[in-house]
Formats: sequence, structure tokens, C-alpha cells
Amino acid sequence: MSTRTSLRRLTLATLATFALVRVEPARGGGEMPVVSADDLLSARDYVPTRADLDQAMQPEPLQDLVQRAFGGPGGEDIGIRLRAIRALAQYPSDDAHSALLLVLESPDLQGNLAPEEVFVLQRATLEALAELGDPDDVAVITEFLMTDDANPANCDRRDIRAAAAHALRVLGSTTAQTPLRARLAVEICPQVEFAINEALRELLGGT
Amino acid sequence: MPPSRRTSRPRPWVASLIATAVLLGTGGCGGGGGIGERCDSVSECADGLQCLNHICLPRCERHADCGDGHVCRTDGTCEVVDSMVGDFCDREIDCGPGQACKLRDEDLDGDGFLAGECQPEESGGVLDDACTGDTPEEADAQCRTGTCALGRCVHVCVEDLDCPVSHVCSTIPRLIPPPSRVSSFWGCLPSTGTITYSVPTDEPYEQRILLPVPGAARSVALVASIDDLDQLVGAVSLESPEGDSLYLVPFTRDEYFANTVRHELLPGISTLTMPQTPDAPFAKGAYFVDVGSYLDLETPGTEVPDIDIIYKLDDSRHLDIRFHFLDLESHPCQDRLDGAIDALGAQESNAFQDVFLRELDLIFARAGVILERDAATYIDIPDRPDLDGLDVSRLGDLLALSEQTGGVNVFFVRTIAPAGLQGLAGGPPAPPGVPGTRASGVAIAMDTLCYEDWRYLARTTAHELARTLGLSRSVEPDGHEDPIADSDYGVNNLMYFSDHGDSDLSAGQRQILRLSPALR
Repeated sequence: MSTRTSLRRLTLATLATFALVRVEPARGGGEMPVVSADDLLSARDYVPTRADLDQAMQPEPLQDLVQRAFGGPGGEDIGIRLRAIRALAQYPSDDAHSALLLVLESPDLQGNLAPEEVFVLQRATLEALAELGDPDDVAVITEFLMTDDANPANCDRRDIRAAAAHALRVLGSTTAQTPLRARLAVEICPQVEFAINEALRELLGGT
Repeated sequence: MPPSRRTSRPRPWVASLIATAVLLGTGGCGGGGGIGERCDSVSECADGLQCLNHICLPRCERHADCGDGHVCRTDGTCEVVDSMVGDFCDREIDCGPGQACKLRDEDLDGDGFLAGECQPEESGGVLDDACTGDTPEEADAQCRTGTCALGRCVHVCVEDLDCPVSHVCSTIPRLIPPPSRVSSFWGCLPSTGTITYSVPTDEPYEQRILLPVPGAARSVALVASIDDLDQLVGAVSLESPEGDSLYLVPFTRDEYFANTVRHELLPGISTLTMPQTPDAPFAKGAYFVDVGSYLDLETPGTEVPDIDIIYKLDDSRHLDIRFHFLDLESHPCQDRLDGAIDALGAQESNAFQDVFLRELDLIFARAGVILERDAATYIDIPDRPDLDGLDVSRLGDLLALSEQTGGVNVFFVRTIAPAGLQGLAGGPPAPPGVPGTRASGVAIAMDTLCYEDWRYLARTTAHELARTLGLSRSVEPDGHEDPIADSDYGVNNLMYFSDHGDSDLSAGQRQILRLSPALR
């Protein structure tokens, strides 16, 4: 068993024990279970709201999220880390913005991530940056839109380009039209073409 | 099996039966006539046969074996029934050839249930044929017996033996106009499978409909749908057969969880299921539901909803599963997909078959549900680049691609946005076993495999499938709980909202899961 796996299992076992201890019986009129930050950032099919995060991550939710976004305590699990990154969009601030730019630039500071793990972190970061809505981020997102395939025949980097196009759409700056059109002119992957066209349609005022 | 009604009331056909018996003979004298050979008495037929209408035939076991206007005697011989138009009847076989027991809107014998009288048989559908109409009278007129219930022609009965094989005699609630009042009668319903029928509606909102839950039903689902996805649709109130309010449209999360029956209005399609917990009896009888479309929770909509009602009638536990593959080629975590990038690859992938599917199978097996693993269907969905990387807002477009009736649908997509979502459930709950709707299945993000393993993905898939089948999260992200008393709050429960959840299900959760009409 690898060290990472052992660490992960230990973390999960600790979390499980913690969960058993902290929960109070609720049915029949008792208190509702208390949901921890780790649980909240592990939701399978739910995006935590700002209110959820504020309640679970007292007293400094933003600081806690930034720490996890960089893989610090609580962010060793890639699943939690990527959701922490995504959750930074709920805290529009210079601190959140700076943290996201830094994560996007250096997602693997420790140098121990697999390429596919880097991908999921970058994708989450692009989405979060887009929601913060800073027009100056068009340039940094565009870099990902222009990522070429290692093997153009099978569009092996289509997902990050599609994520970038989607981010430009959400960010909503009309300055993104130029790079989007430029990429569309050379793009051969239908998934990315669709994402670019959707972004252009929205940026041009369509619905 | 529901208890059958018993009655000591003398039957009008008894006297004629005795007389006819003398004419036809009832003994088994061991003549040589085989099946289909001519006879004048039973003595001319071989042992085990009877002489009916001058033909040697096998002896009967049920009245239905004898055909219209005949009854099956205890010795296995059929006898013609002699009845007059207007005679009392409370089962179809009380009426002779050419007549039908037509239900009247009265409890003629004071047993608490509607009864009928023999009337000339009309043309129309036979037992189980579909019938529908804008009014109950229109629907009844489509049946030979003049009785339409639950969207099908029904024979009235007293006990199971009055019904054909594979049918049971069940209570069926019935609305009697005017003035509207509710009663019920005993009618023959299939003993296995599901019944699905549509309820006519003509109002866009505050349309009050009868939700009749027959005695034979194990569970029921009411599916409301409209075409306009910008409007909400569903039930705004639900009243029990006893007149208790079980549900009122919730305006807050707390109100949602305070309802005895939980349900919410959703865009385009929503499903209300009962029972949701084994901790309260599932009352059979006439429920009333107000359904409609709404622009928002406080503003009536403009679309007249389509209403379908689905009953599960047996304890079947088999679950058909269909796997749909969007274009997963050159996925960012391709190495971890083990070739399961399309329908063919998944069938040959050890990881998919021996880890993912095995784990899924085990989870459902522990719940007493038999996943039809060997009969699983694998379907490619090519040329949908708009859905390969799924935005949460497009879930309905994806699930509407399902085509086959029954079971559940799983759609594997490259990613789901927002990032971090590993799966999404249609509805939930989904319209059970109904394909082609915007809630017909679950979507699973394959980029989950970039940081988790196949066994983990199986748990996520099982979690989402269980939600479509009618289970709630054991604990919600805001701490609210499901309505099942023995669900545990811990992370070991499959329905725990976070991905720390394992695969346990409580006895109560297993029981509710098995009641889904999607099982066969």
C-alpha cells in the first residue's frame, strides 16, 4: 500500500470516527446532525452554498478554503481540494482571486500529482475564476483555451479547452470574443467547438 | 396478497346450477372421449375431463376457465349461470352468458362496497384492456362489463378465484358523481408487474384528482409533466384516504422536511412516490392530489400537466440496468478507465466488469435487489458533443435520450460542471421505469476516476440510482434527515450525502428501495 493511500485511509478513518462522535440523535425531535467541512466538501451531487460553508467552516471559512485549495491540512484529498477551489468562488475577494490564480499557475507545488489530478484541479480553478468575474482573467483563461492536443487526431486535451471556453462564457467579458473566434477557426474537436459557440452566443447577447 | 371479500349472500345462479348439473352430469365415469371429442354426458369423456357444450374438455380450476356466463364447480366442471337482467351481482360470474355484472354507484348489499346488477353485455374492451375518457362514464362505456378503473377494464369479484390466473381480487377506490363521493369495490387486477395509466386533466393548476390506491398495490408513483421547462410542475397538496393532509407545497427547506410525504415542484417533470418510509402504514384507498403547473411557487402556470400513475403490484426484485456511454475517447484519466470508454470496451474491461459492476451488484444484492448484471445493456451515444462534458443545466437533455422501458439508466459522461459533482440523479425520484423523460436516469462523471477508483465510482452510482428509485439522502448537506427511522446518520450509509459514504443500507431503506415500480 502506498504512503498516499495509507494517509488517505487514515484520514477517512479519522473522519469516520469523528462523524460518529459529533452526531447527535435527531429523529424524534432531537438536534440535527452537524455537518463537517470535510463532509460538505465531499458532497457527491451537491454544490455547497455560501451559507453551508459559513456554517461548517467557522470561524474563517475563506482562510480554511485557501488552505485546502493549496493541498494543506484538510486538502490532502484531491476530491476535497478541488471542491475547496471551486468553493472559493463563493467568497469574492482579492484573497480568493489571488489564491485561484496561484493554484492555476502552480497546481502541483509539492510535485506529487498525476497529470489527471492536475487536470481536475485546473478545471475547478477555471470555473471558480470565471465566477469571480474579473475581466482581467480573460488572458489567463485563454491560455488554457489555446492548449493544443498532444495528438490532434483524438483531441486528447479537449476537456481543458472546453472548460476554458465555458469559463469565458461564465466570466462574461466581451474581450473574450477575439480569442474564442481565433480558437474556433482552428478547432477540430466538436466538444470544444460547441463550448466556444455557446460562449460566443452568450457574449454576443444571445440566449 | 390482500384479503378477499367473503359473502354469505345466496347466489342467483345456484338453483340453475344444480338443475344444469343434472342435465350435464358431473360424475367421472371414465368414458373414452379425449379432449375435443363430442359427448352428451361426462361419462363419455376420459377421466379428468368434463363434457361441456357437448365437447370433452379439461376440468376447470377457476371460473375464468369456463368462459362467459359459466362458473367452475368444486368438482371441476363448468356450469352455465342463469340470471335475469337486473339481478343483483357482486362478481362477474353471477351473470349468465351475454350479460355482464355492471357496477352500480350503490352499496346494494350493505357490505361497504359497491355492487352491481346483471345487464346485457356491451361491445368494448375485455378484462385488462385500456379504457379512458374525459368523464368516468365515458371510460366505463369502453368496457364490455361497463367498469373502467385505473385505466383498464375490470371485472368485479368477491375472491381471487373469481378472477383469471395471474389476477387477484383487490379493493379499488372509485369516485362516484354527482355529488362526488368516494366508495370502493372489489375488482380483478393483475397479481404481478405494474399498472400504468394516465389521468385526464384540463386545468393548468389546482386540478384536483383522485389518486386511487388499490389494495393490491405495494407502492404508487404519480408523475406530473409539462413541455415548458421554464415552469414548475407537480403536486401542491396530498390528502390521505382518511382526509389527513400528508403534504403541502413547501416554500422552505424546513417545510419540505416537515411534510409527512416529501415532494417538490420541479421544472418539466416531477414524481411523487408512496410509501417513503416503512415506519407508517401505507394506507390503501382514495387519496386526493392537487396538481398543476406554476411559474414559481406562488404564481399559477399556464401548462396543463400530463399525469401518469404507476402502481407496483408484487414483490419483484429484479432491476434491469442500461449503461449509456457518451464519447469518452482520449479522456484525461484514460489510463484509469481501463478501456471502458464505450459500450464494447466496458463489456471487455476487467475494471468495469469485475470491480465496478461487481460492487454495484453487491450493494444492491445486500438490499435484496437482484441487479440483472448479465442482462445489462450497453449503448453508445455518439455525436453529442454538447453532452459529452455535461453542464448540470443539461441533465434533462441527457436523460431524455433513454429509450427502453423499465429498469434504470446510467449515463457516463466525461465531466460534470460545476466541478466536483460526481453524479446527478434524475428527479429525484425518477418516474419509475419510464424512459425518455428529463428525469429518466443518472449521470456519472468519469473524471471522478482521475482521483478515485472504480469501486468508489460504483458506490456513487449506487447512491444516485437509489435516489432515482425513491430513497432520500440519509443526511442532507444541511443536516436534515430522511424519513426512515432506522437509517443511520453515519458515513457508512450509502445514502450519506458525501463521498465518504460507504455502502450500508438499513432494513428500512432496503424495504423502500425494493418497493420501486422500476423493479420487475
